[in-house]
Amino acid sequence: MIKGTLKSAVLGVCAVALLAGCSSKNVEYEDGQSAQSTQSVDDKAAGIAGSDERAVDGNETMKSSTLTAITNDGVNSIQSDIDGVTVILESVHFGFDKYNLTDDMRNIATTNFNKISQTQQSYDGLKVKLEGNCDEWGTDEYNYALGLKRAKTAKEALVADGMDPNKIVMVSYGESNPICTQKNTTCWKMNRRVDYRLLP
Amino acid sequence: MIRSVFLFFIIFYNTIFAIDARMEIIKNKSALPKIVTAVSSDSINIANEYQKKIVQIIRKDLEVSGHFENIELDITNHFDDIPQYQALRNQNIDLYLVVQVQNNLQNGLKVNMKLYDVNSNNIVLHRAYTTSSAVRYPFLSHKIAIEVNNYLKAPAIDWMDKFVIFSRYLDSKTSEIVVSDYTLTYQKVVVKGGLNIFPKWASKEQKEFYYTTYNYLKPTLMKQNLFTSESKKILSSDGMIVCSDVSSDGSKLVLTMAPNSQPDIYVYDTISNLKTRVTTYDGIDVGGSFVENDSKIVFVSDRLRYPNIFAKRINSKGVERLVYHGKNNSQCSTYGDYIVYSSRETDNEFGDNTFNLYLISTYSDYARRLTTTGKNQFPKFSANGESILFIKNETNKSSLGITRINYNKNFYFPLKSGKLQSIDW
Repeated sequence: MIKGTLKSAVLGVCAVALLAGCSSKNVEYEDGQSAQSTQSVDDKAAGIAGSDERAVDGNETMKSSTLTAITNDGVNSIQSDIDGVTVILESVHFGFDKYNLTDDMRNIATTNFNKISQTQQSYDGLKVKLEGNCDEWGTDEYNYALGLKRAKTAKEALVADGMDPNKIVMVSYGESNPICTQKNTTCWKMNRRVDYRLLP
Repeated sequence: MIRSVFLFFIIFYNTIFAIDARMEIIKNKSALPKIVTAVSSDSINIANEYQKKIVQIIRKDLEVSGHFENIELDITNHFDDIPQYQALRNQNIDLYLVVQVQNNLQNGLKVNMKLYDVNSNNIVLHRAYTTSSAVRYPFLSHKIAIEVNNYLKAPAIDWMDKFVIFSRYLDSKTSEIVVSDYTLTYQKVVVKGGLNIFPKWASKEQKEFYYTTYNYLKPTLMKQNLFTSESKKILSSDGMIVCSDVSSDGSKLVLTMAPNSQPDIYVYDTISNLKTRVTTYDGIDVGGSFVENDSKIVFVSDRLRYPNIFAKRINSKGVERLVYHGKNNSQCSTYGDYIVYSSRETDNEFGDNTFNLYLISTYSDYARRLTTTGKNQFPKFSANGESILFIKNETNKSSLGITRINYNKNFYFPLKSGKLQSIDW
């Protein structure tokens, strides 16, 4: 009787052990077998439409800029050729974080107006493109807006001098269009500017 | 009989209450679990050059996760060798990861990995990963690191497997848009020629992206399919146009536009094609992000005569100032109640300036500085808000930065050529 009871108890415990043991089993793999799964990582990258796919290794060096130092006493000008006629328009420059014109810059803007107006007398459809630019300081989206405000200030000066606003186009290049890359005040000042470019 | 039963109970007890070494690592260890990542000595020769690179990225991923302590040991084993558990335990190693690299197809790789739990003398993971092009090896590493992290049931690091999209300046008025992994090791150019900037994923699926091109008469917002390269014009604007945020369902965009040469924030509905002007200040309003279920916009404005962070409900007039620190806060990103912004901390027209990142809450006084040196800009929260991606520029060096907020650590991945213009993930 006692023997039978003990046997039943052992069997019962075995059943419980089997069920409980399954839930806490921590050996998932046996060494020496094949991998439990093989997964490709190409599901995304392989399908990208593009070019120059590569892994960049540590030996690649940074491309150097092709820009050169300013040599013309800090004066920047844009030369536009209209049917063989050359028009040189001097850029206006701005203070750090500013988009207002100082008196001497206002004079440059008026000189530009005079040259453009004279050219427009011969070429009625001529438009002027004002390109706003910034130095490298500040975040880029803000700099694109700052460059645009500078271009708008230059536009307002032209309009105030008598130009038809419909003959003026504006764009901002933010910090993407530096004319120099030296880390000094002269270079930064040169980059804070609006360029005047004639569009035939 | 009694002895048999006693023996049985011993076995039964160990089975029922078997220690799950994985959970013990988490519960009992106040320090991070120590892991050794080893390269097997029997990797195929041609694939040898990739072995070290793959293991380097795995180690970096584990470090960036903040959930492991990498231990470097000089171990020379074949892939199928049983680890010397006792020797590893003597060094307090918890996990042993071994990686074997083989050729796959013509130009591809196959990586076999085994993870051993040193404390329980068991192999706990055995996986293989393949790619048809060896240059995609960083994704092999990321998959392995994610798998190891998941095994430990640590907070997810799935973001490591996602793409980053960035634009970089190559020269004056010239930039290209590139898709990469988060370490900038894998790269593929998706837009080139002319000036193409401010790429922004159209959704978390990362199948399409927006960007601004200057290759037309006016600055134009484009939408491009990553896999077909099919692109279409969305909007053009005088002066500038930038997509700075996308709503959670992808249907609305926050734009900075200047249709009257005045930069302002707009919300554009891509389904109805309607534009809603959000700001009307005649200075600079840029860089908007959706918050509060896309009902409110956080943005940068110079309405106090210097750039700072403000918020405004769409279709309402009131503007709320959010940041009272710093004199030049020119970029921000939002996640829930949190804002991260870039603040210029020096005002030097004649020399280097420092831009640091700050994390604040909109509902409390919580504020934390995340960086200390250099020019740290363009912060972007990850999808789960646990990490922040940003651009760090120091003298002649441009890097992708990642802040792991909960672990108070920053990591940097340099861009080998060009200058980072903007970035999204």
